[in-house]
Amino acid sequence: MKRRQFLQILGVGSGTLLLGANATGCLGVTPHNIEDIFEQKGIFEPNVFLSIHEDGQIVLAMNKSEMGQGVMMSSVTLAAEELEVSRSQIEAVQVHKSAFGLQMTGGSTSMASIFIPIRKAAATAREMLKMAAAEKWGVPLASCIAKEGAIHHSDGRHPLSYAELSAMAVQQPVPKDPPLKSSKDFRLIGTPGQRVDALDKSTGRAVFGTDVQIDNKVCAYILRSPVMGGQAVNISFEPALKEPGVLDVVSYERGVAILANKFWQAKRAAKLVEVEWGEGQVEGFNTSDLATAARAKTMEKGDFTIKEIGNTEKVLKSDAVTSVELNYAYPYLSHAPMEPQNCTALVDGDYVKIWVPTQSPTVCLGFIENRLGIPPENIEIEMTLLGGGFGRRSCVDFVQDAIQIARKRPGVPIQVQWTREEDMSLGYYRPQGACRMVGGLDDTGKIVSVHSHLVSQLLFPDIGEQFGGLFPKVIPEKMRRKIAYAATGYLSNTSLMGFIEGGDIATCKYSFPNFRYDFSPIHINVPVTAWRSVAHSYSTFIMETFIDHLALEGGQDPLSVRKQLLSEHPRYLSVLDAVVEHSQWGEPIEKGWGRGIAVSEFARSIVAQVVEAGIVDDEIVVRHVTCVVDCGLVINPDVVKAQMEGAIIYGLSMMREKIEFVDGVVQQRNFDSFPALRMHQTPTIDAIILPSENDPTGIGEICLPPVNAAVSNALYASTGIRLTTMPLQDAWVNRPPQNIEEVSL
Amino acid sequence: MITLKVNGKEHQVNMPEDVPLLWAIREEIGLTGTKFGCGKSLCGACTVHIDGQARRSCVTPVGMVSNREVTTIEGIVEDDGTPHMIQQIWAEENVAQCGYCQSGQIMSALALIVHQKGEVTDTDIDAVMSANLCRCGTYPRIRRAIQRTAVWMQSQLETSDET
Repeated sequence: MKRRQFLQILGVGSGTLLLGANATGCLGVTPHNIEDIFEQKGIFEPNVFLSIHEDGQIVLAMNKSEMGQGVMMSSVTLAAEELEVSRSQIEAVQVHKSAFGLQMTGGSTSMASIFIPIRKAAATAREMLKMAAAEKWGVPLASCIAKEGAIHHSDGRHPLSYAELSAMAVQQPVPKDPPLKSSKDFRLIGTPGQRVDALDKSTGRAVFGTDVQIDNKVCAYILRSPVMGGQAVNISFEPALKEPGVLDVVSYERGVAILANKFWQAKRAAKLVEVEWGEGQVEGFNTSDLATAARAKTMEKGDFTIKEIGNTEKVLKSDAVTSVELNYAYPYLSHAPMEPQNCTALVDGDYVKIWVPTQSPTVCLGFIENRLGIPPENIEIEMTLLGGGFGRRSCVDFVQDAIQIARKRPGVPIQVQWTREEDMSLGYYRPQGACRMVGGLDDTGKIVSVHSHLVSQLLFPDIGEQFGGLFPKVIPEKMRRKIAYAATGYLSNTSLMGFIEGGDIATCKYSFPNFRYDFSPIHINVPVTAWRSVAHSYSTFIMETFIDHLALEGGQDPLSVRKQLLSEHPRYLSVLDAVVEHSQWGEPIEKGWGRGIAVSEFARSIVAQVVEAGIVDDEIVVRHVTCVVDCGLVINPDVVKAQMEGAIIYGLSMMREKIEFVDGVVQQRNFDSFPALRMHQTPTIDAIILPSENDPTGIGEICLPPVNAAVSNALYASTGIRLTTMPLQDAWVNRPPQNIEEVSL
Repeated sequence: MITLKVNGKEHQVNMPEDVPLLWAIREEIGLTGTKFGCGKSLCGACTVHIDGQARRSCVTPVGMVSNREVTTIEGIVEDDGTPHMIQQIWAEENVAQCGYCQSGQIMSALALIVHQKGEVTDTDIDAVMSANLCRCGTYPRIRRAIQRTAVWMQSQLETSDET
């Protein structure tokens, strides 16, 4: 997409519109093009999504990235539904196409943004095939029916297959507004089925970025500065060059790359390379110092007031109001997808090709264009499956490695493979921060005021670099932030600084009579970005433990207080009622165990959870999670349930995960010190989806935010100790001394 | 030159003996179903069978496995291309999300089920499968798929006992 065009779309307004731009505009491959394509390739391609080949093969071009969330299955389901074929008749491919406009998978926006466009694309093809049959048979269009991959006639004559009809379909006018099936006629939407990628992913056939096979590929293993961002000052590498397979050692902006025919050769030879590193970008930085400073700042006046209802200061001064205070802290976190970052790049003159597992080929394209000054039409992006994303693969640092090294060996594809240690110690991270919550209770125990002061690193501080490729430099930084926020679908408020970072604090629906959210940004050169559920990963923890705490301090039931403060929001009330119905909330529980509840909204979906947790051998044990979600109309129920389970487990991993810097050096470098949840720590999970006729809303992230809050609330119920610092396991171990009864198993 | 027997076929690989088997499988033999995840035997994505036992190929020196039977995720598929029952069940249960760790999960699970002759308890699953990480959080489905495969394995063994 041309920049001018991009900005024109932005001029229209909100993020939803931007993401929805594909809905109509980009389907417009003109009839002239359709005939040309057919003449050249023998393919009926009525729009940017679909093509029907002469042998009857149907190919669906996906505009979204498959990173585990099941969007390939969902895309195929939508197309198959309208095209009246089975899922197995469609081959889905991930492609980068400028006609798609902005391609970015994140923010749990996929289903909301493709629900109509893919169905319209398929319905367009279906209608043109029907028209072709009507013409061939000389019968009215209304007597032609699409069914099981063919057009049938109501008189029962021999049906015509889509392949047979494609040559004539090409000649038909493209319907402007093809009818979509009504929900009562859905065959596939809403019905469980085996994922289209299930067998490839069970047999080792699935191709990830790290698996791409290219002739003459050269592999790169990169040595990095102990403090991120440091560049090589002196290198000695002569002995390494004598090792088998080693081709070269090159120094560049982000490290020193050993190039060899095989990755193992490069990695092995790296031991013979000595590097003296220059200063890094966070020299001397300690996360413990940041925690202290952030905590101190929360006690001071906030830099920005993002939201204010009533007057919290005045209320808290009243003698009749008791104030309740909790102080929160949360650490940097690595996304740690199972596939370490990688990218393969070929740079040849003014042509670039990359093979990459990415959440956004558009961002990759803009980055390469800006960095190398190569026109977008000369940049080819081949997408592979993503071995996990979680927000990490919306960044382009691994693309930067590949193109900068590849540039030094023109015409040779360079595969950059990070180790786990690089993946964990180079950023990007979920930001670290602190928050002070002060609540006011009147003499009846009612919550009359909530004041929050969040001190946190800006989520997209280097947006100019990260997403900057999308924008000409003349656009001011502030505007770029605004545009990028719009593009990622989060913008629903004009106060930008601190709004995204505030997450659930900024957007919470509780009708507190007095509420204030202050934000103070942390400016530090640690690379941070969106991490599954973005700011909700900490802000929901804060809001949902604080409301619980206030309710109990006021002698009230945490569930009733929530329902009362959410009485204007029926979708919240429904998930809360349902989670109570499906769990044992309010019933007696064995000594040492407790139940905690939490509710949250993300990407226009609502979730409520009840968690059962206790302490066993000084370890937090979560034994059961009941989770109810309202995510609108469900395309694939089993995919939704998998996302619910997955987000809960990813969220429970946060109980033990942290990234710490000591003297500028990241301490956690592999899964031994970054303990992601494992099988034996996984609770049983009841995943319940509320039926809904509303359009689909997000599901990939929504079930993560409440889970740590519910755990903290459950532990408060079972131990009387309120944990407000993440990771919760550290908070438990470092709790103030007190007599605790442990669970015996 | 080291002679490796992978999935029943012999391969000559020219690499020092201390290089991890993982790279021989991926880069020299070209079987990419076995994944690199941590390089330190912490995540299990590289799990293969050596003489029928689950082993982390990322820390197993290639020199140690000459003259031993190495089996990868590709090697458990039947000769006619039919996926192994455990792979079919994995697909039916929609276990995989991103799928990156699943080759390792399946190889660990299969070794457990075979070793236990299909008598697999939840405690066995916790003990053995806790060595395999999954960031997508597919554990509940892995457990279910193992239980189903174990039942199938028992029935296979009963059938072969009768005959």
